[in-house]
Amino acid sequence: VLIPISLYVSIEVVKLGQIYFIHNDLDLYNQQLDSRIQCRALNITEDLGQIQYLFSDKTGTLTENKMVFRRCSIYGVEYPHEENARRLEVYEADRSEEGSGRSVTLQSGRSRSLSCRHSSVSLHTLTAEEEEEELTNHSQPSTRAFCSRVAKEVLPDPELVRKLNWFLSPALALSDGSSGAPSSLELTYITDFFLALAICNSVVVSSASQPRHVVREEQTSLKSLEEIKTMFQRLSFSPFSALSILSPPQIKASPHSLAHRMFARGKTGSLDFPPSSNSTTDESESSLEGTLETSSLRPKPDLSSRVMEGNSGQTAGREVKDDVIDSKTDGARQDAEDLTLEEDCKSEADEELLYEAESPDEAALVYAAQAYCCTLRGRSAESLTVDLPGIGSLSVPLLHILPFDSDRKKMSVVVRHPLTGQVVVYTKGADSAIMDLTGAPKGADEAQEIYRHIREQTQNHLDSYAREGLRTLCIAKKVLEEEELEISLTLLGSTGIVDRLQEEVPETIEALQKAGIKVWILTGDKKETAVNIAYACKLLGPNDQLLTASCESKDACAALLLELQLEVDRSGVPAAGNPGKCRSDGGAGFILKSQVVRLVRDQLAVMTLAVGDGANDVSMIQVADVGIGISGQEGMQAVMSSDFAISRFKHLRKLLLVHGHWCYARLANMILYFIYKNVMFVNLLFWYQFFCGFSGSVMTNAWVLILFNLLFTSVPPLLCGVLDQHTAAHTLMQLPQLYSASKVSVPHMFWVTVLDAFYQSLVCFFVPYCAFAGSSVSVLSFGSPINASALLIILLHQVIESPTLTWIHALVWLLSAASYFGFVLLFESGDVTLCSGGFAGGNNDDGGGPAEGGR
Amino acid sequence: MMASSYNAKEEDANHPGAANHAGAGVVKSKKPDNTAFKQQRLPAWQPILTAGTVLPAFFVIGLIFIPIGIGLYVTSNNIKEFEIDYTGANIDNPCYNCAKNFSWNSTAQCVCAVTFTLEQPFESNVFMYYGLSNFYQNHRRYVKSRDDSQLNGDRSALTNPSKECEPYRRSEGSPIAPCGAIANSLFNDTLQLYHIDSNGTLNEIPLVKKGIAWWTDKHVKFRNPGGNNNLTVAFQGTSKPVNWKKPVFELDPEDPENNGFINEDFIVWMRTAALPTFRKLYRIIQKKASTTPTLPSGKYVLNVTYNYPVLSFDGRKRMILSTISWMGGKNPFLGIAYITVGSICFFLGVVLLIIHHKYDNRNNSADIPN
Repeated sequence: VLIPISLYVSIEVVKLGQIYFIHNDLDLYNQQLDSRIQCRALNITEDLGQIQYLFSDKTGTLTENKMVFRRCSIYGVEYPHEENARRLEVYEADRSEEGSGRSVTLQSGRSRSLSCRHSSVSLHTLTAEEEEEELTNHSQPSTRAFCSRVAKEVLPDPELVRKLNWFLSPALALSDGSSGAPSSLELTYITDFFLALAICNSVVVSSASQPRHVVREEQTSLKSLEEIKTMFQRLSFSPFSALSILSPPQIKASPHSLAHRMFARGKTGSLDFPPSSNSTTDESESSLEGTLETSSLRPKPDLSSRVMEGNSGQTAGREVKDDVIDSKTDGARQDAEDLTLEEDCKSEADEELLYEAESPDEAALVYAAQAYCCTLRGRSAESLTVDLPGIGSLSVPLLHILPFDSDRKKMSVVVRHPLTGQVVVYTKGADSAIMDLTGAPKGADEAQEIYRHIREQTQNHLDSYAREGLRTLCIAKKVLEEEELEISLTLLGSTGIVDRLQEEVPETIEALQKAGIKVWILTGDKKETAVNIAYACKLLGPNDQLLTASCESKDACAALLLELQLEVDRSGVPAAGNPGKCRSDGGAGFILKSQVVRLVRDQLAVMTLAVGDGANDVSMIQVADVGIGISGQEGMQAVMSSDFAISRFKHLRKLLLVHGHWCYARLANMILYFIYKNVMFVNLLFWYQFFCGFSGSVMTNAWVLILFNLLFTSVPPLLCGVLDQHTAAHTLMQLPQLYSASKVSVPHMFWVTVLDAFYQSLVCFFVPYCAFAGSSVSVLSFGSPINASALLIILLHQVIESPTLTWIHALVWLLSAASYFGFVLLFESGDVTLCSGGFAGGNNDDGGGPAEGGR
Repeated sequence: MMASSYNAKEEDANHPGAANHAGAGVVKSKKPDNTAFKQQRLPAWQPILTAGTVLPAFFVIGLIFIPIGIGLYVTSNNIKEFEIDYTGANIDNPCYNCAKNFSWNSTAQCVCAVTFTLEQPFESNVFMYYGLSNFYQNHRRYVKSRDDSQLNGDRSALTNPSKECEPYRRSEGSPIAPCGAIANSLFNDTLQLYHIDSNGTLNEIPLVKKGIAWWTDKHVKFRNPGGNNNLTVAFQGTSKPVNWKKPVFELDPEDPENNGFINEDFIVWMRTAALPTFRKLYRIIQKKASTTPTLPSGKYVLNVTYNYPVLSFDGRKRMILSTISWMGGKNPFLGIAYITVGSICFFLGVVLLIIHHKYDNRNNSADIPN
């Protein structure tokens, strides 16, 4: 009676209840973001318990997506930034401590120690501390996730600082890189490098006191620069054929009138700077850059005096400027220089600057540049304000921005160089994109030789960065002469940015693998980076055999993948804990991700789960059986298309191992119980057919029949599906192996349940039958004790079957039984004229007694 | 019901949290409430079956069920019951001729006398039943072939019976009262009981026909149309059921209060039996004031006016005399069932106890892993 519909409805209600509990789980709540898990799909809770393949994005999913500048290579020279690395390690150690202890005193202590080490940026530390306090109080969600303290503070490399300090020497020629001495060429590279870091981005600057004083307008490119825009687009796509398209008049017409003035000003400024007072710069700035905010104008005299001090203090260092190795020995002096430089920065950074970037990489690079006193101060549609070490604030006329896009994998800015007045293109992008475009500059053989050396070194450094798991970017520039155009870019250097793993990622992946889930990471990174990350998050163990497959086209890749997967499956390698590990080539990007997921899902017929945080993961999330979005730094697209949205990767562990397991087991048991209940009850009616000539007559009131599933026994299965805990949560967390062991043997359990129901209904029917045989019992009097005993036995059955009994269970059973007896009494006494047989006659006895005993 | 209980809990859990945040005046945190219910940490009792719980359970069930079973069995055995078949299927049965010569059209009544002997005297009130076998009063179409409104005295239903009564709804143009197959098949044998005393004379035993129907049936469910005065007028315009010899208002020629729809024999018949072999209360033999038993042992004659043919569907007719007890009529099954179940439980308990004692290893049973 009513099996399909009521079962369907019950399943839906049970899933709703399961979602309710998942949604309210404290362990899936992220204090820092003040976000719970979002359950966007209400009907796939049981799928969480049957996942066999897990596909994960890397950036932002496994990692924080909080980029921190780690090291860089300029002019083919590596600057390891060891201090910086040590600081990061200290921070991580602290954080893990915090994870275990989580005490306020510990946090404040750590903050203080950092501020001691870093007295020059105490203001930063202070605000960071506040931020930390906020986080611990979890009173307000942090809106400045990008500007975490770690990302903002970059300890400069002493070697690089020393070289920068030489640059402060007024005697140095700044103008032309190619004509200078090798060391000055290197210095030019260094300054250009940091200038590129500071300006080649779309970062919006704001300060704590005045939030976002310059509104960035992406669309307002100068109309007169349309030609350059087109030129650059052509250039970037087909650099070697671009020359013919460009004609001198176009380039000549390009500079804006304002740009002309700026050019002139910049030139004079750069030439006049060392002797001249700052007031001229101030005036020219205020007059020419009226649009810039006043807050970008710092107390200049103070700065200049400090700069002069620094210069005077460095006269000793200048003597050894040509010999890097010699100067290295002079450690003490170097420290002194560091201090002066930091002092400089400090005075300028009185007002805290906040950078908001489209991607965390950009912010990290800008902060890195800031650490070398190359500070981005403000941004307007036409110009950027940049502090340069030893020079002070400069306005860099911004001619055009070619924003980042994933096809080109690079972005460029076209500016008029404030010092040389040349039109310069700074380009930042993936190494694959940049390295191809860099060519030897025109000039002497010697210069070409040097440049080739730089390229080789930089490439070596890039490879080593990738092996460390760093994200690599290349910085290049090109000087656009008014008439001539150089095709090849000049490689300045490269950066390595570290993106730390989220907390508990290795543990989570380890647990998931123990649970029998095959974890794949789909990433567009370099192979070395991907392998390194895989080791870091324990996806690959030290003993695992690494199979590497590479292919050219998408189709070939798909075929290869499948072959590889089948191979891996057949050879039983996964048993040793070696999951498939896939590197999708960045070019095909997100389409390939979804193809990989679809391939595995369809060909292997397995339950797949995809987890990702960015827009490029959307297709993968949609294709997988269960899509999980990580609400992180890359917008809401992944969350919007996901079934569940979590905030940290580690939440997957409890979501799958505990909630998935529970939901799956609960739903399975609920359905079994539901089938039992109905088979048991309907069979009572079936047995009666033997005694009514198979006429289809029932011994029960029609209303009781209807309400039996609808009311009297409707809630107990729901309890079974929502509340039961076959295994405790902590046990499931500790023993991930239980996840795969939870798969119940469905046909076996089903038939056992049905047989049990048959047996119970036999007892329930034939005990009253024998007791009433031959007596004067009427139809409904005969049915009443059968129904009552069946109901009680169905409820008692749950007592035996249910692993956990709470007061809710007791209440529900009481109400269920009471509702039956109440209904029968009320209905039949109130309506005795129409329905006979409320009270069992003289021969009535409780048939339930022996039946219960028979159980 | 489920929903309401859930809502209540949710509100309970939310209130303290809301109060906290209102005081601080900050945006309400999305942090889930740390309550036992929401975090699924409700104190739960996990029924783990161990020797310590199962063995006592078996013994307790055994010890409770066996006495109950014995009590039921003894009570059932003390009930005196006598049963005699008077269908006339066999040639040696006194009613053989009546059964064989039965015809719907004959107006002459066929009477047969069945003699029997009661070995033991029947004390207290004796209930006289007629029993039918292989009579499917619970057939789906038979059960619903009645009009309860008509039987309740509704005048419009009297003249226009429910369609459920088809094909026993109208006869010769006028509505049948009472309509339907149940009423049409009313049991209409007349049974008389005579005691043959030592002298050989027949003493008729007084049979009480009042009080054989349920009180609610007689006073609530069944009513005559237009009260009980002048049923002939009330039932004017209706015809008797086709198989009846008399109209409904002449069912009991002796007691005018027992006519029409509230005739108790009729009411008893209308309460359909659950099983194809059933008995229905016919008369009550009331206990005499004196110390003599209601029915002393000895020879009796049952006079049957044979009106009800059952041989056509291979049915059987019986007359049953029975005393009753607190547990109803004679039925040893329940007692036996209780004794059996109790014995099995007790036996299992003993067996398991022995196994438990013999193979129990304290070291292992001390900590049962989950």
